[in-house]
Amino acid sequence: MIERITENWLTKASEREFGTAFCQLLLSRGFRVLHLTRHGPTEHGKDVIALDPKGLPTGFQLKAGDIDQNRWRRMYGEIEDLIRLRPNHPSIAGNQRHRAFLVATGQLKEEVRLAISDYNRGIPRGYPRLETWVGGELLKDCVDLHGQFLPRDVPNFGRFLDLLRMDGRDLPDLKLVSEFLTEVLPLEDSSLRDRGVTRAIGSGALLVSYISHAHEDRENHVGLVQIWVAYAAHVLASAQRYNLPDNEWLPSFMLAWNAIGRACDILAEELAGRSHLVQGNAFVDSLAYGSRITLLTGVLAAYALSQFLMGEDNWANSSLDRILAPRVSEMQFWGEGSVPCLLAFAWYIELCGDSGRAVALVDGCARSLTKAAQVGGHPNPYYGLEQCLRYNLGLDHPQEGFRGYSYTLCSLMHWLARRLCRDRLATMWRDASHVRLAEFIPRPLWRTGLWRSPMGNTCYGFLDTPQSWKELLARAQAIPKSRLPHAFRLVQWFLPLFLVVYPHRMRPAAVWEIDTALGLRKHLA
Amino acid sequence: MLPDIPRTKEEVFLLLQQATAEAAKNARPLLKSIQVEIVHEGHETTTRTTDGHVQRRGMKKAETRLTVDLTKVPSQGLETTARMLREATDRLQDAQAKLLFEEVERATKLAGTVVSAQGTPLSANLLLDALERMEIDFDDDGNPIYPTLVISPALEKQVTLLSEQMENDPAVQSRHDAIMVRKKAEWFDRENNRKLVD
Repeated sequence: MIERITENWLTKASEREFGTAFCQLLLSRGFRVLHLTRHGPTEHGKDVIALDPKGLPTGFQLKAGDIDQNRWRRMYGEIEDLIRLRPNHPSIAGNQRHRAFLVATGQLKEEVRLAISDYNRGIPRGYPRLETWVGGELLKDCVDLHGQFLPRDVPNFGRFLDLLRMDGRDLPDLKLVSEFLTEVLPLEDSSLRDRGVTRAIGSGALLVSYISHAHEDRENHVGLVQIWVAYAAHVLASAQRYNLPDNEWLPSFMLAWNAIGRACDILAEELAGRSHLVQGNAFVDSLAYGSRITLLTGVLAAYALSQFLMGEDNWANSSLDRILAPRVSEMQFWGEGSVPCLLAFAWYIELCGDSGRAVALVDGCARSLTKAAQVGGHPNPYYGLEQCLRYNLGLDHPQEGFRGYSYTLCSLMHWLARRLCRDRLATMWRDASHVRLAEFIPRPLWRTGLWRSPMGNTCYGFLDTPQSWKELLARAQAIPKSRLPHAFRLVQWFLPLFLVVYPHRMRPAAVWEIDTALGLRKHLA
Repeated sequence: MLPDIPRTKEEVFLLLQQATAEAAKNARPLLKSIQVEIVHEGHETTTRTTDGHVQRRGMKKAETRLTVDLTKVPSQGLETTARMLREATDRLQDAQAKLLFEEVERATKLAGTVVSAQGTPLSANLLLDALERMEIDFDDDGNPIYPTLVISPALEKQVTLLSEQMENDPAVQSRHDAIMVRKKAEWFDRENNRKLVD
């Protein structure tokens, strides 16, 4: 069955979509992936640059579908570049010989195979032959990678099929994605560890490529970001749980990051090209419009923060600046689940130099949470955008109340404290002191990467009354008692997007990590 | 397997469950007045109270069983199902109420707010003794927000008489007023402490 699914996916996958899975395949074969073209034209005919198991630089050109004579003629120039121009990468010495592969998810027609043989016969000395890696071989290699990590038992195979059938127009079902990955990786059954967690991580990447096809097909880039962030979070959970050395999980994690980055880049481009931000049935789009602005702003702001933390020069996002930032007044707050989006945007505008506006945004959010807690409250961060909209419309009724408590208020108040906003905090302290502050800490901490953790402690408390400003500031600035797991702290730049996708993981320690990382980077910059 | 219509049956069963749960709760004003909060993940909670106590609690289970006699299903209509569900829900909510009172007893013992009648009849002064040990909040108009008095149905007449006594007996009224003055002062202090200081 998995062969059928893989074959089906290979026939439908675009080059862009196939790239991540192909690189995972390379990793499983001992290659070291140096570069995967994220988006846009390839560099000198190479979509992927890697070092083969013997350390030889290798360039790969990826093509989706079959290659016939006409197509071969059209791509001839790229093939010439692939063969004659050595891969250009800081990790590759200038004079090293290299290998060159044409990779096709379909088949090479007979005349193309003959053309390639002729081409290779005519290649001068010192240049590599064109090697091929196509359809049937790719299929076999993908299936081999899955090995014993396929979802074999009925419940998980059922989940897999449900995921394959996801509606690409919708936000993905991350609970289902997480349950599926928890079985595949495997995270709850440590007796399966000896089967090779690294290989399971690799298999997981391919399976995620399959299940994200619907969102790729619909070009639902936010959906893709969410799915790959979930996968990356589960890789971190695996790394933490099994204490894996970096080289056994980081390459796969970085492939997921590449997929996330690609989706964000294309999303930014899409926004730049649009004359409006309406989507789907326009007659009733006003229901979703404001929340869409919030989510888009959150995703792109968080991605820009990640770029900044990774030391990229061009971290600022022009689509965010030109298209979304002017629409801040249209942003809609659907519940505590949207707070990480607002916070990401606040961090972004602070980095851009408008700290006053950033503080005002966070202050406004904190006051809104405080006021709401005194009446009906906002849905807590365990409720997603659609669920909150359904409650507002009376289509569903929540099975719990939201009055009197908040999961995100404490994080926001500590954020303000670190910016020395004493006066603002003083004016809201009275009302905020009536709000019960909640936070969930998974146990063990590696379960931070899971969508839901069966074990863990929900902590409740109130602000101190009276509260010493000095003590509050010290507590907000100090290293938190219950920090994020080590694996998450190793990739701090991942955290802003992680919180946007997993808003129920926003707690003071997580916000502190990002604040500290941003502060350090600003100092270095 | 025999032919079935699972989706519609599940939808109807869910509607019945929701309707009976709602009806059962309406018959229990105390449970109805308490906000339900779902613990979406994890296995325990920790609460730090305003007076600094830290309490770690695991989860407690309240459950009830519901069985159906397969031989009776053909003759059994939805009214029977609704009745069975209502009985089961009543048992479940009684179990929840029992857990609630156990928790209140534990918390009040810890807080030192327990007042024992030691076998004597309920009296106005006993009620005032209990009020004396409680924290009372006041609304924006300065009126006390009294706690909810939960009593056994057997005491209903007695409590009605006590209410009248509290309104008409000058000595009881005087003591009540003195307590409220103290409580208001305590409340003012609490509210005045809700601030950020040096």
